[in-house]
Amino acid sequence: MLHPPDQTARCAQRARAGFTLIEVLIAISILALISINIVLVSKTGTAAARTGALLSTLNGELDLTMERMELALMAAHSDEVQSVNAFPLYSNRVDFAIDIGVDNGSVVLGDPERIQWAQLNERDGAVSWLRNPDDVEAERAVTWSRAVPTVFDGETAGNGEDDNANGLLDEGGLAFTLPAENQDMLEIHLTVERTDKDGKRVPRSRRVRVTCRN
Amino acid sequence: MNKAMATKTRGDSASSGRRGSALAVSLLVIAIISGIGVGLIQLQASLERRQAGAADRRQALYIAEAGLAEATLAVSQGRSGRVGTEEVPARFGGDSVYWVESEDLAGGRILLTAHAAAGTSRFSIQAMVLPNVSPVGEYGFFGDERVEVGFGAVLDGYDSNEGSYASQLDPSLPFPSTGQGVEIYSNGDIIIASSPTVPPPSGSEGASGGGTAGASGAAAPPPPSTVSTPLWDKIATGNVDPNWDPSSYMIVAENLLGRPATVTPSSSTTEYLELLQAVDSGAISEQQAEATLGLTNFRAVPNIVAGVDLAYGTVSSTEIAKFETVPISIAEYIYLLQHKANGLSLEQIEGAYTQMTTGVAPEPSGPEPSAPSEPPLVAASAPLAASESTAGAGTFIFGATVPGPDSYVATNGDAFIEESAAPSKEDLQMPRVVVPGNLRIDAGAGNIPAGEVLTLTAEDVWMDAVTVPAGSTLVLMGPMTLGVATLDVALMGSVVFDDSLGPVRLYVTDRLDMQPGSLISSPAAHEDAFGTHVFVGGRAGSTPGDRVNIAASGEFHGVLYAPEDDLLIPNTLRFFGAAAGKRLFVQDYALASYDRAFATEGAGVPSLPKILSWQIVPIEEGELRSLRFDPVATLRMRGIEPIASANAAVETDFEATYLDTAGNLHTYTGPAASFNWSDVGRLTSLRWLSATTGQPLRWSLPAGYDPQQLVAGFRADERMRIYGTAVPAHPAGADAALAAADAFHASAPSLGVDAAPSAAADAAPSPVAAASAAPAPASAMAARPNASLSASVGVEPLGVMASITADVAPPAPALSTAEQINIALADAATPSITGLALIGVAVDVLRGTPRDLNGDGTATQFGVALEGSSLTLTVPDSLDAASLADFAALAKAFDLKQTTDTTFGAGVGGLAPLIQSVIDSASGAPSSAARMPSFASALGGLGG
Repeated sequence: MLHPPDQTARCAQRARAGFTLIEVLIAISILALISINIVLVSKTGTAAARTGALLSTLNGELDLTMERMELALMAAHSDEVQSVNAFPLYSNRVDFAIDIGVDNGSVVLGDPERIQWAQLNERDGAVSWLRNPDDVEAERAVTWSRAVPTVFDGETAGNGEDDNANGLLDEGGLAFTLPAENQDMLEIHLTVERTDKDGKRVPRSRRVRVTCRN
Repeated sequence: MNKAMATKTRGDSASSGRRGSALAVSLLVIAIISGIGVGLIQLQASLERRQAGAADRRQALYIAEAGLAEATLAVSQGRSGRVGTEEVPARFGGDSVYWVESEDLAGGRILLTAHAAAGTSRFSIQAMVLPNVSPVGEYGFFGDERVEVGFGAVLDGYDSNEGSYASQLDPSLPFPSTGQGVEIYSNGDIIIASSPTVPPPSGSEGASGGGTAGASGAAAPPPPSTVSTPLWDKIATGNVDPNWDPSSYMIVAENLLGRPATVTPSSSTTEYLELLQAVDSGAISEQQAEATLGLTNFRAVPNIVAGVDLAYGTVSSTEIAKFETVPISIAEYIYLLQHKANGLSLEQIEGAYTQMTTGVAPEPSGPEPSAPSEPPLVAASAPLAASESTAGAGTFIFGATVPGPDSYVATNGDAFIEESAAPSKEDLQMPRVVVPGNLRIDAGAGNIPAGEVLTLTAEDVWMDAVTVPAGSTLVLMGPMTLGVATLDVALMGSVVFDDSLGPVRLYVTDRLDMQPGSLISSPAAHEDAFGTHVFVGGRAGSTPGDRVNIAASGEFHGVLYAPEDDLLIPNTLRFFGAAAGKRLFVQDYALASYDRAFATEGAGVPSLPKILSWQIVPIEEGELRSLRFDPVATLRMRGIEPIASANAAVETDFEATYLDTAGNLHTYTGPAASFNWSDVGRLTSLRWLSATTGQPLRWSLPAGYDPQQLVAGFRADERMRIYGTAVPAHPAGADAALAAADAFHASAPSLGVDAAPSAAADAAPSPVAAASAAPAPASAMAARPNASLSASVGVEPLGVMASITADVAPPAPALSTAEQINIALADAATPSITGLALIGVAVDVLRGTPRDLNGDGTATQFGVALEGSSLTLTVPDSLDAASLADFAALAKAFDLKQTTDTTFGAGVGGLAPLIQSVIDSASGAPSSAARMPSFASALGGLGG
């Protein structure tokens, strides 16, 4: 059965007319919601990734710096560990020498070495390893981290209190101390800290005890 | 119609445009999201890798430390300390392996290097270890509560492992001393006297060394008196008992001079005493006696008259005359004579003597020939007392003084202390003395009759009380152990510690009393001595020092250890070794030298390892990059399975069956390090666990063979082969070859890999790991003979076997290439060659150096075909059954499978790669030996 001509025209007209306003509005609304969600998720994900990356970087830097210090001090001769105060005092520098062997019954020590913290700006400092420190011609220095803050995580500078309850008063981002119970052991407190995109300081801290093997 | 068509066309176009845009947008979004996702995944993977790498690195460090600890314990037990090898390491946990290398260094030290690989990280650390530090000799001169060093004492150190004390003297010093190496430890203070509290031996006072060795003002109770004896004065003044036997005089003279009794009464001694008695009786004048003897001071120099050269030299009458202005006793004179022997000029001695007796330093009396090179003495009646150039210092300590924690070294500054005087960080522990429980009790044998000599040797015996009266001698000749409740040595009694043939250990539980005038001697050359240890155990009484009195003269080389008692080192005793007591006193003017050799012996007490130095070994960058897979997977790709950690020690237990030198059969099961190889005449079997597979392995004689007959048969065969007769005249070379044949049969008659039926073998890791430990540091094994033997047994038989064939066919040119091997092995059979000889020839083949015995390109009587990696040995049909059995055993040892009655072939991983590696090596191509550590090591053992 054939449609009448006017009916055919109405059909064609309806097809030309497209979506109704309601349909368009609904579609736009849905698209807007989806877009907003996508943006929000993307933003959240990006922020999380950025934070994760920052934390990862901080952890990596903390691990690496701490491991370097551990290994250096592990091989040190306990009698040659200098410039470190006994707990609860501390210092931000340690001078030491490692064993490189024994000759005729006597220990042979390597060149003098030092691990120290030095201030870079108002908030941050650098941890460096030096061989032959104070010897202008023979000195060799390597910076292990530039993200060690002036003040240890949780500590408030200059208030004379142990704010972070680690037994040390107003300690800096790097602190060496000798535990009272074992003088062959060295305790290292280290904080690394960076500023995120929002300007917030993100710290990571660790405390490690190293026994000098020699 | 056209409009409609146009509208339709637009509509279609728009529709398709919308679909295309959506697709593109979708793809773009998907791509972006995928990119972000991939990035995040990569970031996460990177973080995980980094974290895993850090964890692996830390794990590798800890595993390396564990390996080092295991090796340290091993070396303290006399083993090499080697654990696994780089080629076949020990497994630790799931994906971690480790191995430890060992290298012997001078001075008994061992360098241990532990490597560990965990995941993709690797770590190596190194430690220098003293394997057997003796807790009783480690600290040189040790006093638990305090140490007091008397004025004028000289303490130095040396190492008898490096030669005698004399050979280590420092010629730049004005007196004989090594000038280095002493160690003085205490858990309390160390007091160094600033002035003499004991006068040197004085005849007029009758006290020549008694008193304390403590610092002036110190609250220490006086230690036992020492060398005073009125007999000295009697000799000096001629008031000698006329009934004295000359030999008694000689003993006293020896005691005075502090040297062993090498003397027997000589005519001059007798003459002297006769003259002395004649003078005393008024029969002749003193001048007449002096004229008779050609001396100017008759009474002062009986030792010279006696003609006894007591190693201090003699002094002419002219020199003696220098002392005539001062009444001098024999004791004083001899004391000074000793000082002369210690390198002082007579003028120095005279000055010292004047200072000693008058308290006034003498004016220089004119140049002595040697004076310009020797600093003049001031306040010294001791031989080594200070010179003016050292500001009058009277005491020399050439080494370190280490007081206890919170304690100090007290000195007025005059004493010379070469090294640190810093206190120790912790108290040092003195192990308790435990008398061995296996001593044979012989309670009644301890009373030595006067004038007798009791020699104890080669036994471990307990005697309740031993008394050595005047004129008697107790000789302790090592190896031996003597336990006593009390040991009393009277004046003129002697104790000889002869450790030239074995260690001497003396345990005293209640009292050790060596009276003044008694004599100690240690006749063995220090560098050859096995060590003397004197332990005073038990519980001390309420009065310290009431149980131990060592006031003897002479020379002692050993360790004095009395943790519950005070010890005094008297100035009449030349002391070499180490001493440790509750309190330790070194008397004024005493000479004591710490022998560092005693720091590394644990005779009588368990020794402990000591780590001298610990270092991290840098790993090459390229080596680190190569670690992309975990080490276990890497090894498996090479067909290597790491050894179980418990089996990785190179030398552990085994079971050995052997004939001793008398031909008696024995079986030993236990640690390889404890096996006494010197008892072995012929080794008939050896069982252990394969280090690589854990499979029980065994070497044994072929079933039914008697070793004696085997050797005899082999000898006959070799004679026949070489000389064409059964009883040839043996040239030297043939004898050597036959001797080697004996050794071959003694050490490994045949090679067979069988399952050991004994369950005991299952717990026995393997000495064959030594064979599988390619490039084994031979020096590391050499220092521990037992360990070395047990470890090298894996390759020794092959080496001996190879040497046999090399020796028996010296003119035969060696063939080295594969082509030559094949040419040689196509040789015709020689009927006289038996299976045993075939084994030797086969070894030559395995070495890649078959010999052309006939000079015509033939070497063996069986064929060897080497094609690619396939090897086939064909034994001639004419070979007798016994020889074929021998050959079959050899073939089995090398994993050659018997394919026919007379054909043996090598499977994959069998002999072929070995042969190939030999050929590669000969042709300069990279050897596959590294992939086959056991065979590679076997090659090394073969010398090929």
